[in-house]
Amino acid sequence: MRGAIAMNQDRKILLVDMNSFFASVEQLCNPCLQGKPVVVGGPVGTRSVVSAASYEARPFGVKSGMPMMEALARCPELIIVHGSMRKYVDVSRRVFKICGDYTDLMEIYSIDECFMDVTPTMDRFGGAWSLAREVKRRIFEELGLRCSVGIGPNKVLAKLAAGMQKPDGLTEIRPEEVRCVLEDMPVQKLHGIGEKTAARLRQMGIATAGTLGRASRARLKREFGVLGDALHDMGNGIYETPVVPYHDKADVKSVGHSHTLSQNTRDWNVLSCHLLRLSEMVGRRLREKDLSGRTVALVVRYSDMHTFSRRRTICERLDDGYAIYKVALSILREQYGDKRAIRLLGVCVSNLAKDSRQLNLFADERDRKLLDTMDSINDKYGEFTIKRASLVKTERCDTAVGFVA
Amino acid sequence: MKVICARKDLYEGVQTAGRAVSPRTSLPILGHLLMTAEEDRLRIAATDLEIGMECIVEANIQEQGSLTVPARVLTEFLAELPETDVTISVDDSNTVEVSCGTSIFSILGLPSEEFPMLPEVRAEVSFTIENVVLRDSIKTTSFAISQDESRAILTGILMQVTENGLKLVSTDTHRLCVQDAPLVESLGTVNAIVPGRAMNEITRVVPYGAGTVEVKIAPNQIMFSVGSTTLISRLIEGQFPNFEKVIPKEHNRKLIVPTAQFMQSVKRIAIVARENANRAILRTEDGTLILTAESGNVGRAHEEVEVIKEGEDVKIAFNSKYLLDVLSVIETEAIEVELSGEVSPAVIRPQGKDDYTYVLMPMQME
Repeated sequence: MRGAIAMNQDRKILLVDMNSFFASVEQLCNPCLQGKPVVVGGPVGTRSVVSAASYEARPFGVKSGMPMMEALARCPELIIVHGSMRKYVDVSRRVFKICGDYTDLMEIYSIDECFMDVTPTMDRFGGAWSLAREVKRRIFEELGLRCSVGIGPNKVLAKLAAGMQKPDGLTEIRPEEVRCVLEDMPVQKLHGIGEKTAARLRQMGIATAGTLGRASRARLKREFGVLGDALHDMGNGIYETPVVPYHDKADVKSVGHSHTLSQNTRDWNVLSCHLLRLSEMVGRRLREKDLSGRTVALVVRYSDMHTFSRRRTICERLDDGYAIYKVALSILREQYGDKRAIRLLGVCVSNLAKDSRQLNLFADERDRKLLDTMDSINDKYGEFTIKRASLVKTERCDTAVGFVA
Repeated sequence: MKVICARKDLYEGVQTAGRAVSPRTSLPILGHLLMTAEEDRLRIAATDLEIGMECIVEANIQEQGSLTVPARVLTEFLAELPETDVTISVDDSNTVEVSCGTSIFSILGLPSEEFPMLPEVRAEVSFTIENVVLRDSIKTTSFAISQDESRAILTGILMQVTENGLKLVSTDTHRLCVQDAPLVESLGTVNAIVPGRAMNEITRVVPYGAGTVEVKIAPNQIMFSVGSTTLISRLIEGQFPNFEKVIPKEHNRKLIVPTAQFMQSVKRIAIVARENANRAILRTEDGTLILTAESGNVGRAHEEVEVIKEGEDVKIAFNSKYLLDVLSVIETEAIEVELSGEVSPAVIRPQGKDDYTYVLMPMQME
């Protein structure tokens, strides 16, 4: 048989995907929102987009990523809730904790999705299907949230399966069903194939996973290089990338935050305020992880989308937002010559090392104590409950994107 | 210029002065030694523009004058020569001829005018100190010099000359060493920050036997003269941190710990601690000091040392390397450790001696 399928028949991978996660958490926290069309996102009139839409909002055509104005136009009775990342992170941790009870091989894929390799453990729970049902039951009973679970012989197929039935679905793609499922599946539905790759494939006359699987390896390799092999396998439902548990992941190399301003600006006060806020967020994340870093990078995107990034390495290790801010600001001051309006700012600290917690003889311990106290208040009551007075007037930053690379 | 000199004397002088030669330099002349023949002696000098070293060697001067010669080549050549007289001369084209018996070595030199003049130190303050005192004082302070070039001031030792004697102070901000030393005689008072490198070089020059070192301090330079050797160094400019402020004035707990036994325990603990930022935890249970270290990758270590304790039990974390550093320079049988809290600086002293203070900042527990 041509292109024999070397699929590991015994592997069972689950993808747990929380349904409409942010919106569901908000509905859970505020019963008045239950059964109503709810979206999470920033205020109307700003650049904000829908971060998540409840299932009640979806029949109106409201989707994640849609500008808030458009969402409101489609569904005038839409309730807009400003998200609270802390809340979501907290619930997300609880979800993953439940999943972690069923296998050590769990890979957190995003705040509301995780892969579980249950191959070694499923027999104890009566097989993958009943294990998945058990996970769904516990997440619902303990947290009141629904999720869709996909089961497949690998990550791509598990993800595909989870997407087939939403909300509250449980779908398995068995090895023998793979060909049939993939036959008419548009390529971009395959996990790992983005729009650009899909467009290139379509140009080659490949629109479905089935055609992709039948396309010759050589042809795909000519077009995509080493990726060609992987694409060919994906078209055949082969994807052997393992589920990588969090603790096996490489150490954090950098910690950063970026933020798209609600309006492009060249106002120095506004820019420096945002820089301070982002720096404080980075500092806080560093302290949370017991890290400090010596290289500060500043990312600036102008209104014309031109983006530049500059880094500076200093001698001291930083984990204090204000100190990070001073470095970032000095970069901005030197680089921001042409006074073009700025659309996005980002601050990132790298060159990290674990804080040895060696105390300093000459350090003004008051600063450290102040930071520790602020951290514990913000831990308890939420980010920026206590902050520098200069940040009082800045807009909410909850929509900022955090990244750990 | 032409001189005749005993190989041993010449070799020693070349080696000593050669310590100031910078191994990697963009200026070729800084890789050379300057030799100057005057009446009855030969001066050998080298500098890397930070420190300068000059040795005077007895020699039979046939013809006065000066020459420069690559330090490394000459040192290697002299090392291989038998123990007899060596003749050094130079011709008009700066070719240096070193001959010894039937061995003749012609080396390309450079015009001696190119060699940077060693600065003349116009001393405002001067003192004389016994060899052993200077050597020991540098030993008990130099290990805490900061290696961080970005804070230049801390890469040196503060030398405080007062009517009462000399105080040497070093810190890398995690610990602080303060050593008081008596002077044979002194003139004037000053605070000078001497680069750590100069301090380390001078300990190599100061002989172990009896004798004194003369020190002259000018606003920008310091000059050490010991025997026939002179070391000149620039001083580090700037304000040394207010070290007196960070020496605890009082304490509420005190341990008297046998030095050697404690050091052995810390050495063993350090094997595990090095995997965990060198963190060693010290706690007392009545008369026993318990040291522990833990590392996820290696395991655990536990040590006990009998101590005398005043005050309540303590629990505190220290960098084990910082403990070893001080324990290896203290010569008394026991040390006194004064403590006030788990995040407050500790003071370590040799028991019964008040001329040395080591202030050590703890590590946070967890």
